[in-house]
Amino acid sequence: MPVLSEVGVSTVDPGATVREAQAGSAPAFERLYREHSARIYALCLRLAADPVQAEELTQDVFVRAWQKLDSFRGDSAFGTWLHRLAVNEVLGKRRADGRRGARVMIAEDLTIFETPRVVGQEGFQLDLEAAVATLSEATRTVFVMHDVEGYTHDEIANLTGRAEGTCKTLLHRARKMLRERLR
Amino acid sequence: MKQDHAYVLDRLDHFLDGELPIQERLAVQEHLGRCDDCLEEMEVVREIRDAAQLLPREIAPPRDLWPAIAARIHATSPEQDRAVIQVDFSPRPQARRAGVWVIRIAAALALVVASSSVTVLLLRQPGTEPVAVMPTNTARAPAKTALAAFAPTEVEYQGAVNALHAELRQSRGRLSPETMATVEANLRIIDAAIAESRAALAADPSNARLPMLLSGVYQKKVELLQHAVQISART
Repeated sequence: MPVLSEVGVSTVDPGATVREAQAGSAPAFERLYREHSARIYALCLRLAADPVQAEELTQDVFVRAWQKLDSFRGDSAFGTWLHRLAVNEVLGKRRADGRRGARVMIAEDLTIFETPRVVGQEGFQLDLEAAVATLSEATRTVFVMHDVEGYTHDEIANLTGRAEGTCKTLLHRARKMLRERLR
Repeated sequence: MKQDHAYVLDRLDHFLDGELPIQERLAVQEHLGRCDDCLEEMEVVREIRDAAQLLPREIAPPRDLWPAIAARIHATSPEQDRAVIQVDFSPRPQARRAGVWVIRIAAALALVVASSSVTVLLLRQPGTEPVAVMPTNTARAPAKTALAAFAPTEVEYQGAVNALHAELRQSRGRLSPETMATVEANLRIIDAAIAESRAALAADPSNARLPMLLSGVYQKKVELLQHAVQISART
C-alpha cells in the first residue's frame, strides 16, 4: 500500500514561499495555489463526484489554508499538510451541509475528467473514474481515500468518524460494486 | 473451515490487502489454486486496486479559481478570520461560560468593528467620492457593473444561508438556549455588518473592494451557521 508521500503529494517544501504567505503575502499564497491547485482539485473532484462542488470545495480549502497558515509548522511537507486540511475541509463541509445523501452521477458523464492536463488516462482508467463517481458517497469516500490516496483504514476511520471495521466493509462494498460495473 | 465461493469472494479484499489471519489466508490461497472463477474475480479486484493507485494525482480545475479565492482572502485579514474562527460553541463548564461569551461576542464585534473601519477607510481614500455623493461619471455605469457582478455571488451566499438556517431550525432543540442565544446574537451582529457593507456598496458601487468586503462578511455568516449546525449534529 503506498504511503501518502509516495502517491503524488508534493514533498518539496516551498519553504520561503510558505513563510512569505504566513507573513501575509497574497502573491506568495497565489504561488502556493498555482503549485497545489491541481492536486487539491483532483481530490475534491473524486470525493464530491461533482465538478461544480469540486470547484467550490477547492476554493474553500485554499481559503481555509490561508486562515490556518500559522498552524503549519513545517513538521511535514506543505503539500501533505494541505492535503490533510483538504480532506478535513471536504468531510467537514459534507457533514455541515447535510450532503450525506447518496449523490449519484450518470456513469456516462466522463467529461468531468476530460481536461487537457489529465495525461496518461486511458480506457480502463476513464471507465474506473466514471464508475467511482457512481458509488454512494460513503463507499466512494473510503475507496478514494484508501485505494487512490493511500490512507490507511485507521486514518480513514479517524478522519470520517467511522469505525475501522465499517471502513473496511465500505471498501469491500466499493470494490465489489466497481467489479460489477466494470465487467 | 468453509472454503466455498461466497466465503472466498467475501475475503478477496482483505486477502489482497494482506489483512487476513494466516489460517484464513492459507484457506483462501488453497481455494484460489483450484478455482478459476474465484481467481478471475481476484484478478479483477487487483486490477481495480492497481488502476486506482495509478490514477492521475493532478487534475487542473476547468477554470482559474484564484480570482475568487483572492477576493475571499482579501475581504478579511488573517487576524479577522482567526477572530471569528475561534468562536467556539462547544459545551463548556458552567463556570467558564461567562468568559467564553465575552470572547465570542468580542470576536464577532471585532469583525463588525474591523469591517466598519475598513469601510470607513475605503470610503475616505483620497480621490474617493464621499458616501452621500453619487458618482458623477455615470456614462460608464460602473455602479451597475459592480452591483451586477456581485449579485450572483450574493444569491449563492443567500442560498447557502437559507439552507443552513433550515437545517439549524430542524435541530434547534438540540442546542442549549444559551448557545442558541449566542448564535442569534452573533448573527444579528453579522447581519448588521452585511447591511452596512451593502449600504456602502450602494453608495460607492465603483469601489471594487467593497464586494470583497461584503463577500467576506457573508462567508463569516455561512461559517457561523455551519459551526452551529455541526455542534447541533454532535449533541
